[in-house]
Amino acid sequence: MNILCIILAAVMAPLFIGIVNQTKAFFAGRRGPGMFRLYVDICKLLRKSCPRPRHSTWLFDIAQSASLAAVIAATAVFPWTGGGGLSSFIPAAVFFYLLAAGRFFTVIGALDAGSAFEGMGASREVQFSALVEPIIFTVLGFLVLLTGDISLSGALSGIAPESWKANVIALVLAFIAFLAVFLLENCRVPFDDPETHLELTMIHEAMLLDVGGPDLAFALYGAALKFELLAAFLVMMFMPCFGQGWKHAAVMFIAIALLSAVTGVVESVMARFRFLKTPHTLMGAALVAALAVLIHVCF
Amino acid sequence: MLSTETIFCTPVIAVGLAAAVHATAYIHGEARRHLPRFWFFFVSTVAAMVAVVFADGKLPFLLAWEAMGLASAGLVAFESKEKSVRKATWIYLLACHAGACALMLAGVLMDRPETAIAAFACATIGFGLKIGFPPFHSWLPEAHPAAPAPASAMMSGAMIPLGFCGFIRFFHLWSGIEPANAAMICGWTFLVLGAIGSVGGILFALPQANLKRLLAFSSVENMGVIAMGLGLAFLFAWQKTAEPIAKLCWGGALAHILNHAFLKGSLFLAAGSVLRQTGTLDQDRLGGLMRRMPFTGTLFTVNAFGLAGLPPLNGFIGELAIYIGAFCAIRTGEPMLVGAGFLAALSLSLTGGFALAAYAKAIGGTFLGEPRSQAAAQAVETPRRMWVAQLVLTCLSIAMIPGTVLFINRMTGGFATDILTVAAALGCAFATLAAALLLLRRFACPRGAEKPRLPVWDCGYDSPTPRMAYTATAFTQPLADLFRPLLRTRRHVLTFKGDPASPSDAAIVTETDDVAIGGLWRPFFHKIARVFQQAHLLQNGSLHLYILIILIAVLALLVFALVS
Repeated sequence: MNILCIILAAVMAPLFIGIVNQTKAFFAGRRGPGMFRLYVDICKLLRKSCPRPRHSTWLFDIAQSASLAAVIAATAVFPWTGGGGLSSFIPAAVFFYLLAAGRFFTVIGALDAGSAFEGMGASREVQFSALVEPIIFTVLGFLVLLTGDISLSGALSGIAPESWKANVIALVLAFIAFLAVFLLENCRVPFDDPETHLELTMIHEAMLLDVGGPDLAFALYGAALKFELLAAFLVMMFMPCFGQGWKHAAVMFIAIALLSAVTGVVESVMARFRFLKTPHTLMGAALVAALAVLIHVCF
Repeated sequence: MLSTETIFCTPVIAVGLAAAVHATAYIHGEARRHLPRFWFFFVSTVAAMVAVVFADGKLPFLLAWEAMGLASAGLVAFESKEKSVRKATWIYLLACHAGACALMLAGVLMDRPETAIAAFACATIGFGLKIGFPPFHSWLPEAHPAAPAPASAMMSGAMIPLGFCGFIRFFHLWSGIEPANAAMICGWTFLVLGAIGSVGGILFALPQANLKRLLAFSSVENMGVIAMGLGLAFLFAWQKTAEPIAKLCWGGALAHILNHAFLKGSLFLAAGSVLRQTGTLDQDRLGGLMRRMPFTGTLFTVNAFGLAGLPPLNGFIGELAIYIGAFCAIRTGEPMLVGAGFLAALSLSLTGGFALAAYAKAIGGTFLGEPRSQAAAQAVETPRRMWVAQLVLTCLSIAMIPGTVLFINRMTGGFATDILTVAAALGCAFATLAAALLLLRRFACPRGAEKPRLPVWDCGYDSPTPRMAYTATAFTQPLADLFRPLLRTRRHVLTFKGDPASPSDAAIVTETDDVAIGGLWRPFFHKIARVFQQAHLLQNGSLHLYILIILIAVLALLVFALVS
């Protein structure tokens, strides 16, 4: 059943991006591209050929495949059914290291193209991801402190309702900090705008300028999967336990859909932050996470 | 049980052999006349390192330690015609002797209870000077770029960690203090120095344009990671119930010594190959070497990936063991251990993020994109034995993927082995999955054989030149700017001259020097020099004064003899 849930999660990933886009379309008064647009795009791209930059090497060729493989591996260890499987063994650090490995390949692929804009995007990607790491690990430490379990599923699903009551302030602070991680890692407003098509302001998209065909399909699907994964992480971290199995998975997918809609709302009502201020925002989020830990330890 | 000797001796032999093979081709042209000198110092360094590992007792250890420093200084000084090399040799010799001096003091002081703490401080300085604990790391970024690449590979991979070997011996002999207190002191010292060293080391590695300087600072980082593992182990050892966790951290740290030795050794050899083929190590002038030196480039990429601590390679598994230790510390809920755990986990995560940036820069700047100078454009692959030497070390690191798991399993007797095994297997699954996706991509692109090649997108500009690509320095500039108060990067901007309508050349040069040298050591040694300036009152060249001094001394001795 665990495996079925993983496959279901893998299949549903592009749908959540569709929900975000439809929400945005609703707010903008458009009809929108439809929930299933990304599926169509991916199928279309898979049938095309892979153009390559003039001076790229084998690293460019493998970059998107390896990057997607890392995200899929992270999907496979996530406790979709609330526990069991690999997730009860590995520490949460492994999950984030897999995502980091995927990022490494994207960055290397972008640098391999040798274009100024891709270098720019890669440079920003590593900058922001380096600053996000301490937030992630502060939140992880907080979860370990709260649940007394270092495994991924244990740290994620162990928050009992009474623990919520006792630590509500700390939990809300940790939620805010991780929300920043979620939006930044998925290149969402207010940190990055997936809609912008100006090379100078993009982060993630800028790294994919010269990627096409199946590679672009992999990149788009990888981004959708990562969105779903981090949303699931955020949801599961703070969702009260619904038992294990189908029920848990179903509740989680609904919650992810809601979070996607919220992301769409955020993108519709908010402007993007000033680019150069992003590091300061991230440091603020890190401080919020640290505050959550302090509040939990001291009170 | 694996003995400490085995763990510390393996890198010496493995990296030493690979470096020797590499050196046979690395030293070429005019420099071959000095080959005997190189081999003399090379072999003596290896011999001295082995002697340090196996030395029995304080005096033999100190002798071997001093011999190791002197012999390797001969290696650093190999290209002594250049002024910068002579300067680096001086700094290195100074660090070696200051370290040996502190160690002699530690050896004298360690047995008595009242001087136990002083002995520990001396040992921290003495071994810290070799390991590269902040602020004693200043010789590393000077000596590594100056030394020939095989020598830097050996020094970075095998020699620096010997400081930990010495520390472990010191700890065993340190009798003047209660074991629990000793573990506490050692634990916190290692943890704090390791945290500062790992984050600071990789932060300073980021903006370095010189590839070997980048690698040298990254050695400071890795030694910091090892020190944090050992520090956590000491703190857990103090708690009787947590013995398996202590052993896990200990095993993770020792495994990281091996992993770092193989990975970093190979990276330094690759840097040497780049220098030999292009004549420069400036990443802003390199680029595009992957297509010109495919073997060197591929091996460099694999090793850099491993050293960034990413799955599935070995660097990841060693660091994971330390991560587990850190989270176990947080889990205990004891304030002291929670603090230690957060310190270690946060430092490791920051280090991981910066290491990803630094190594992406090293790969991208040196090997990817288009060549940014004539020298890089004309480079060709090295003689075969140079990349074979790297290949051997790379194979050893890949063997260390299961090797690390087995090693830690042996250390802990089974604790956390399941976690590490699953993590290693997951890494392999990731690699297999990537291969499967590549096949799918091949299948999806039926015209794969043609592989259309197009110009890169530069906003519609049709013929982008290499000068328009992002340089290595530009790649890390946002992070470097963010940490500018700490890094104190100096910028030399050569702006437009003359008529703004027809501007002439403009250029920017940035330099990031070691803060410890400018902020601590230079003022420190200037102060010492000023104190000794006062001694010039006595040594002013006048014979009368000297005779007067002798007279006074004789009289004083006479009086002393009469009185007593």
